[in-house]
Amino acid sequence: MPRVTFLDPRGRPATIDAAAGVSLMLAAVRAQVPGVLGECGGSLACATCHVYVDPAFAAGLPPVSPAEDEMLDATASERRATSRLSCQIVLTDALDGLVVTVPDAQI
Amino acid sequence: MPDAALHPSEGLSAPVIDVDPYSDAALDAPGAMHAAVRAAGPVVFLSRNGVHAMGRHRDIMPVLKDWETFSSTGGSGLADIRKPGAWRAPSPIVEVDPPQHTHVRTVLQRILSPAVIRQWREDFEKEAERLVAELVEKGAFCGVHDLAETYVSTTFPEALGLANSPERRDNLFLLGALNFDGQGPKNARFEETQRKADAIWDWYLDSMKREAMVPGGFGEKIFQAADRGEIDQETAPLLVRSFLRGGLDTTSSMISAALWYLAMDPSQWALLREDPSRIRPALDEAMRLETPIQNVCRQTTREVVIDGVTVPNDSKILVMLGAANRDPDQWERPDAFDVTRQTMGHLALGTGVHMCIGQMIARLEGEAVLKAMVAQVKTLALAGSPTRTLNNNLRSLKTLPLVVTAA
Repeated sequence: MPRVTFLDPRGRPATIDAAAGVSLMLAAVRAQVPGVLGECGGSLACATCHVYVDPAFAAGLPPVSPAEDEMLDATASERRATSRLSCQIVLTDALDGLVVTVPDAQI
Repeated sequence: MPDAALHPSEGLSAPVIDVDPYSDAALDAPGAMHAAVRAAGPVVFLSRNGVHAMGRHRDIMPVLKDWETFSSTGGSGLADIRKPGAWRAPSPIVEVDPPQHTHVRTVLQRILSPAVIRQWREDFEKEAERLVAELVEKGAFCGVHDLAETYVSTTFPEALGLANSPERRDNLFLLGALNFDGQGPKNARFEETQRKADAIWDWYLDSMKREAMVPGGFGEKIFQAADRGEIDQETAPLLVRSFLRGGLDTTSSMISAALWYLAMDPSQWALLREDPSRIRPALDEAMRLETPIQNVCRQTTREVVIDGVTVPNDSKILVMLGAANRDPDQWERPDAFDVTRQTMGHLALGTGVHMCIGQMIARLEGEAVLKAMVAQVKTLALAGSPTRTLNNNLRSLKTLPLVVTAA
């Protein structure tokens, strides 16, 4: 059961225990983490589940697909090198301890 | 994409049931018909329409995600558009599968990216504030005609860049009615709509042409993508056609449904006024309950077993999104409107590669209207019973008498 910490834009943490096999977006929405909307449910149509991933975990993440790359260009908050759409990150035990930051705005 | 629900072994054949999803009674109040479909099995065969149908949320979800087994190329409606006699040019976005779909969807998604739509926010909000102020001044008005339809028919065609004309509003709603009636059987309801639409056919054909597009709209950008060779020249007008036919009634239905549910329940209206961040979830909840597009069709590309029931190859399946959205196995208190509900997984916009591409526009329009209402309206109530428009596939209110007091 991977544990994930979401930092709000001011750096305040919220830690959740998520189920392995679900997306980071779904885990956040289920736990009602503020600032992760996931309006399209993971169909890569809304870019409202944008997060900044702590670089320490970059190597353990799946690569950015061309479709995710397109949507990352359309996020409401600035795209950074660490930007990901959380619907595209499936949680595994290897990602236990993952830390991500929620951006200022999603819409 | 293989899924646990689909086993390559023999199953039972689908139970045959005698319900008519297209009767006046079922279109007016589909709850009993949906319950009968869900209860009969994961897949049923509708004897009257000669198609398979599905109503259970847990079985529908994997079907919509598996475009390889459940293809859209047979058409979004009951008719198999590939068969002689029924043939028509498929929508180059709705009625194709990957890899062609991926290509067109990528181009269109770039034109309608959330970043582009965000730039419309100021204009959309200004128009909503102006319109709502006018209606609050009146005190009593129709939530469908005066608010939802007026708003959507002002903002959406402007964003598309369709030149304005005195007949634009009525014609676009007629095209929407035709589009969705056409997804059902060729019954009297469809024939009547088709007859009315025949009178505006030249306007319709002209409106999807490049010359009809005002500079700056996203319609023009679709033609420019064709100029750059990103999509075929003949694809561009067909994409504009999809927006002409599918962009207005659906959004308007969502907005009027949200207004209706909020007017029926002052405690829900209070929750929205207390915290306007609930507006977007409230729209999802209205979409779940109303499900403006009630059904979508898929066609099997092989024999497939769904939850123990065999569906032969090349079978049309009527996927009942409205039934899934009120499936008691998926939703607690499925018929209750609750703006605090977690609505993720509702299927009003579909799911998977064909999920509604205009959803961010619809959400922006809905949000602008409800935001203006929350800011300017204190009490919201029904001033009479609403009435419904009956359409073969589009569920929407015809009238919604509302009375409001100013905030």
